[in-house]
Amino acid sequence: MPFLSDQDAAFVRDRLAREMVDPVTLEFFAPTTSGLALPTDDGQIAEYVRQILGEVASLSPLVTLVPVSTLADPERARARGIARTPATAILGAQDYGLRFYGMPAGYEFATLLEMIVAASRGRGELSPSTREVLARLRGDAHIQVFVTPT
Amino acid sequence: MRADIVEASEFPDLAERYGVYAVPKVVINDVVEFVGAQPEEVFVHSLVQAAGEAGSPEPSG
Repeated sequence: MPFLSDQDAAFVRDRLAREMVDPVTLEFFAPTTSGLALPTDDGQIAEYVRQILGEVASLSPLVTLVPVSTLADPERARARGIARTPATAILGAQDYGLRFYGMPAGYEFATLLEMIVAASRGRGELSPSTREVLARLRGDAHIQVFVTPT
Repeated sequence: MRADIVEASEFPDLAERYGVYAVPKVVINDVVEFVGAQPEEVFVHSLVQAAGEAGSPEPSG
């Protein structure tokens, strides 16, 4: 049974068609990605995430889902800076550093959509003055935003 | 720059480490944090606090 209702799927398809520019790859990291969940809660959640991402990818020719097993390919997870799973790297024309840890369900599904559109457009909605300040940042910045689906 | 969205209930160890009792909670470089939706200026100021700005003194801490 799909996560998205027909109505929601139509909304997502329309939004991605209108707003996307560059192709986006969703690299999904979990211990196993075969569709067979590990007999744990974590495995079950990872399988749900994979299904959600798969449904989104099916709604736009510009979105591709690439499942990566962290057991089979730990090097790839390391290269993306991913130490915890389930994790999704949202990659546009380049890797802008966008990651989603956990399940993008409930309100957070909208966050996933925003991240896909931002990665696809290669720029967000920040003001020119903000861009100037960001360009002058001396050090690296690691932003963590903690959320819940409700 | 990296931006992680973290589903707090699925990563309770991180939620505990960063004292997440309300969401959304934003943590930058483990040193600057704020809760709730904030104006863009507040976000930018927090980034400058955390990462420093060229031409200004080194950030303390």
